[in-house]
Amino acid sequence: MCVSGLRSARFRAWVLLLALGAHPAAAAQQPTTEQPGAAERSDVLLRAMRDELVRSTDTLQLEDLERPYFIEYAVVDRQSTVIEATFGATVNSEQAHTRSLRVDVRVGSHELDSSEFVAGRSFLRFGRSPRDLVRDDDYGALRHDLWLATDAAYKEALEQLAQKRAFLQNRVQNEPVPDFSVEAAAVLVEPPVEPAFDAEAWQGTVRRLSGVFRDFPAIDDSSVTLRVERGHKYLVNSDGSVVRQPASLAVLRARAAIRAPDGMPLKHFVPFHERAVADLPAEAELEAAVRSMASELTALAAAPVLGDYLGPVLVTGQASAEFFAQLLGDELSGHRPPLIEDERMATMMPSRNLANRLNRRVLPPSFEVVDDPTQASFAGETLIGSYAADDQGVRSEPVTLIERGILRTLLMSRRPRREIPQSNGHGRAGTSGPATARPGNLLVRAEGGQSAAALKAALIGMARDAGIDYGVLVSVLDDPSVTGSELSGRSSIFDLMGGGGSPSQLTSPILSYKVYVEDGREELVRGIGFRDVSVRSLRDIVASGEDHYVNNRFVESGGGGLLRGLGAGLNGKDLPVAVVAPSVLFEELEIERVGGPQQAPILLEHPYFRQVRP
Amino acid sequence: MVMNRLTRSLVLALVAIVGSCFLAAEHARPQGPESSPLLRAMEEELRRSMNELGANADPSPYFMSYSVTETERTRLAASYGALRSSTSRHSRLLDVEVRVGDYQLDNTHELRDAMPFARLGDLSGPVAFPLEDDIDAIKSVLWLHTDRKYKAAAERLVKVKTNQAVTVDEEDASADFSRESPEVAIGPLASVAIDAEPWRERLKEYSALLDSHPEIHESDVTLTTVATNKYLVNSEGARVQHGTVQVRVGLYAGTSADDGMELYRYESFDAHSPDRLPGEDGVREAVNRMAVDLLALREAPAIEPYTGPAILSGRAAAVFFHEIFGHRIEGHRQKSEREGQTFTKKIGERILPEFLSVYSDPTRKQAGGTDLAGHYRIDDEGVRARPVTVVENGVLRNFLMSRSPVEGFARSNGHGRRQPGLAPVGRQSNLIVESSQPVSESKLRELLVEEIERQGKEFGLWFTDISGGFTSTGRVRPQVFQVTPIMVYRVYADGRPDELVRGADLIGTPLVSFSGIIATGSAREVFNGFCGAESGIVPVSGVAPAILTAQIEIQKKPKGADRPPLLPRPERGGR
Repeated sequence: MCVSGLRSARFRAWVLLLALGAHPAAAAQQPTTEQPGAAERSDVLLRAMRDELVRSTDTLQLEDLERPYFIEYAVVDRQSTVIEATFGATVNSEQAHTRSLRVDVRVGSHELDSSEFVAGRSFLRFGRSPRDLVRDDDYGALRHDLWLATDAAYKEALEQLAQKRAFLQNRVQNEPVPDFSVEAAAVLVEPPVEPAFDAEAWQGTVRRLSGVFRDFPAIDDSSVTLRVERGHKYLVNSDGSVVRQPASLAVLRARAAIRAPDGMPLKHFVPFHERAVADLPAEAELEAAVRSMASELTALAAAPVLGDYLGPVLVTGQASAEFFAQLLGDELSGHRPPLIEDERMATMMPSRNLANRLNRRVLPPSFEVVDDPTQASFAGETLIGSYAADDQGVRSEPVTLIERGILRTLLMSRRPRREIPQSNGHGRAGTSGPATARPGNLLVRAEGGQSAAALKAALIGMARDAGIDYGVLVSVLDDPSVTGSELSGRSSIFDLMGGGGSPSQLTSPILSYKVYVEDGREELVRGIGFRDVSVRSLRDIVASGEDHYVNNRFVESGGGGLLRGLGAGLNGKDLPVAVVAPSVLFEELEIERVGGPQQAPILLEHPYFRQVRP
Repeated sequence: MVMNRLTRSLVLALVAIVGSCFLAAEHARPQGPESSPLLRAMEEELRRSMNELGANADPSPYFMSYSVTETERTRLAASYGALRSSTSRHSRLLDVEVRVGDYQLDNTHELRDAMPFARLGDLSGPVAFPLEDDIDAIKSVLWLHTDRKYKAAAERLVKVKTNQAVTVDEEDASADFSRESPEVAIGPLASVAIDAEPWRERLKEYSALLDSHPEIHESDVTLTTVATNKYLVNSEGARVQHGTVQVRVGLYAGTSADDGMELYRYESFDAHSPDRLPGEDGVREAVNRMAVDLLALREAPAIEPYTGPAILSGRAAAVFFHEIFGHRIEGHRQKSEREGQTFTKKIGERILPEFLSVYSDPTRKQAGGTDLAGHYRIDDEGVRARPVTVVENGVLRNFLMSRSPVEGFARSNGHGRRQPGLAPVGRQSNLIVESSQPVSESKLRELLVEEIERQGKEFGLWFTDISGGFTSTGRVRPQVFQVTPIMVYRVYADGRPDELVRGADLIGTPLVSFSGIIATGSAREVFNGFCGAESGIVPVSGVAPAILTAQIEIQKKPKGADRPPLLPRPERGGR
């Protein structure tokens, strides 16, 4: 009785602040922030969320069972457009306006609550999300949807907590780690943005861009996809957080596939990942990029196979940023997996991170890694992983993860771990499933960066010292979140199950070159993959560049159970993240021939090129 | 499996596909019934592929087909007087079929003893296809996927031949693919237009009617319109282009009883064009009836397990027949060695009472003024739809055949159906049950009471509406069915008034259920819904008179663990 009374009091306190139309903290830190009171008057959705939250927090109780100690509503309200074209024609055009709802109702206490427990057969239900809210700005109807979702979530939470307590009763627990951290509330209501988007004009652009491949007879398969999301993320919770922030994205990608004369399948891509459609380059620039990608792929098919290699490797540009993203991105997450009742299932959900290497060296001493979601751009380029508050209503902050090569902390959501008890504003959720600790803008910096020429000279020098004729330079690495497992808009059941190989493996290079010792010439090669590369390999970096590459990419949002990413439309990888890194030189990496099973050439001539050929 | 309204989560997916009918002339696009540029491009590329693969590839294909399913779909949904969603989508999906081997034995032959996953075959799904009639783009997509399909077919034929060599002879030695005379039918293309704004308002108004009852806490009122144009060419010379329009108004309302049992009503109106939907008063009446039913269900006692006589209303009987009968006369089930094959050896034998005949007739557009969702003119293998007499005066005569022959049935009868991306199999269309000895409804009740007394029971059951069901036809699991009635009344022998009960699942085994049919009513009713099976979800209809059966079995529906919502409904109108 007493506890709930306190909660209500705190609650009313911020409601009152809202009504007065000013929150001192918010006003001070975010000068662009709209006054919450005014926002509420004009924003029916926010008002409905707030009012139903207050009512549920104050009065929701099943008989004499525990009342919720925490309730949170997160809504992503957005209009999505997807346009896909192949070989000059549109193959897909979709528009949708959705208001997806995530409800978190917790019973118990911060020390032990109903969250993060997978009871025996509830695996498929884990992360189940309630249905979308009504689209109309109808206050009563919105509250109605929220009411039913809260009711269902509360009852499920009671059941979960009972099962979790029963499970824990039979286990010895040394120093139990709390389930949920106590955090300061964030009140951050950003002004609404209504970016203009001319879908019809863009459909023409996408179609024309896909038509570029009519000039490349060797390419079998290609597609260009544009995905534009316009809208806002809303969050209210019983700690007093009120957040409204823009959640827009513009994703334009061209992908293509080819077969080398020996049957080796090869692919290439060019991504433009921006926050707003207005930030995408002009059509002429897009076309030039697609054309250059298609030329590179055509050249790649004719390039020789490198074969096995052991020696120095210079990783530049996109490849370097992708290296850090793939090797470090996941492992810097301090996510602690849920308790899983079924042991066999538990082994299916491995947790990989660097927690056991805290305060130890993971990179050379010249390196520093900071994750900074507060930064909207880097040297004039957009960072798509930026946000003011995370998906648990925690204000974002720059976090120094690696200092002088030593790992200092991990990315944290509100799920504490023994070593790190608080969130650092990295609880992020995707289209479905709960928020988990994920990167925002991962910035890799190194002191003493060298020029591109110096790095190349160093590569050649190291090759010479090793007694080999050439070193290897890698400039583009495959990003499966872009290329997928298939091109041409197919989706198989395997994609839906979130396949795509183990996250710890580094994807194959797309563009790589032999750099000859004798004259420094660069020769394009194909069919290579790294062998035995892991986060440990990063300690073997011997030099870094003065350059930087901004790699805006998408990662899996984590959580959501077996069917996560279903319908997310981005191969299940729906969380925008930026990784910025300089070029890096490795003293020794092992490379082997890859390229999958050789495919027989396509038996018939391409109907278009057969006809246009002189 | 047939479903009208299975669960809340399923319905969103299911309602997306509604009944089908040949297009009325006024909806035709102005171009008239000529081959579209798309069809011509498909034809040209097919001819080239067949010729060149025939000359250069080993094994060469003996059959190829291209089919494109084009849909323009709009869906509006409203709840509690507000617009929930509004979506529209235009898509064209390509299916390429390549067969190597010969009609007798080809790459599609069932692999015996294979791992379950390997048996599933091609899971690559349908291919997104150019939406514009850009011939070069169209041909390039056809070319790429022809190559993929050809290679997959050639590889599988090797497996089939190895499998044949190492396993014992099969029971049914019929061919893998039937020979059919090629269908050439160029129909007008379909389109459908609705005035979205007034429809939004109507749907909101209907959902607001449900919302006026505070006990009803869930509602979804939807309008779905789909114009489908199918294009098919094959190497035997078939050339088909035809369009259909499907329109559905779906009404859903849900509540829960005080003990937590979830209760719902679902009503739908299917039509072949928007102007054939009921008027606003007709829909309002249905909405109000649903509300009255639901409120009555909340107060009704929960049913106890029961075995005894019952009347199934026409709609209930239609679902009952679809599940326990319809799925067992699908042609391919007579051949697959994993199927239970209830009727495979029963051709010419009596399997139903003499007064019953059953037809599957996809060519029927309407029954008693209601449009039938299972109507089509040409099936998904390009074979002209034909009416099939399945049971004549109680005697089994025929199966629902795709181009996959079974012993004694070498040809298709136009029942090869699928959703894009899956291989067609013999499926139901409009399943029509007819009785040669109809009795009036009052007579049917008298007969029920007689049967109750004969069996010494206190009461019998009367099922007036049913939401859907499922059945298992395999060998491994028991052959059972289950259908989910919504409105069930106890009919007392002593003349007490009928009493509504809730929470019944109708279960049983098929053969027992057939033998118990005593009499039928005279009025026929229509059930329009969707049927899901191995070739995907297709629209179907059932038409049947009420049926009196001596023995049905009822189990209690598993009760939801949840209680009704704890807090009262939020206030309307808002601030």
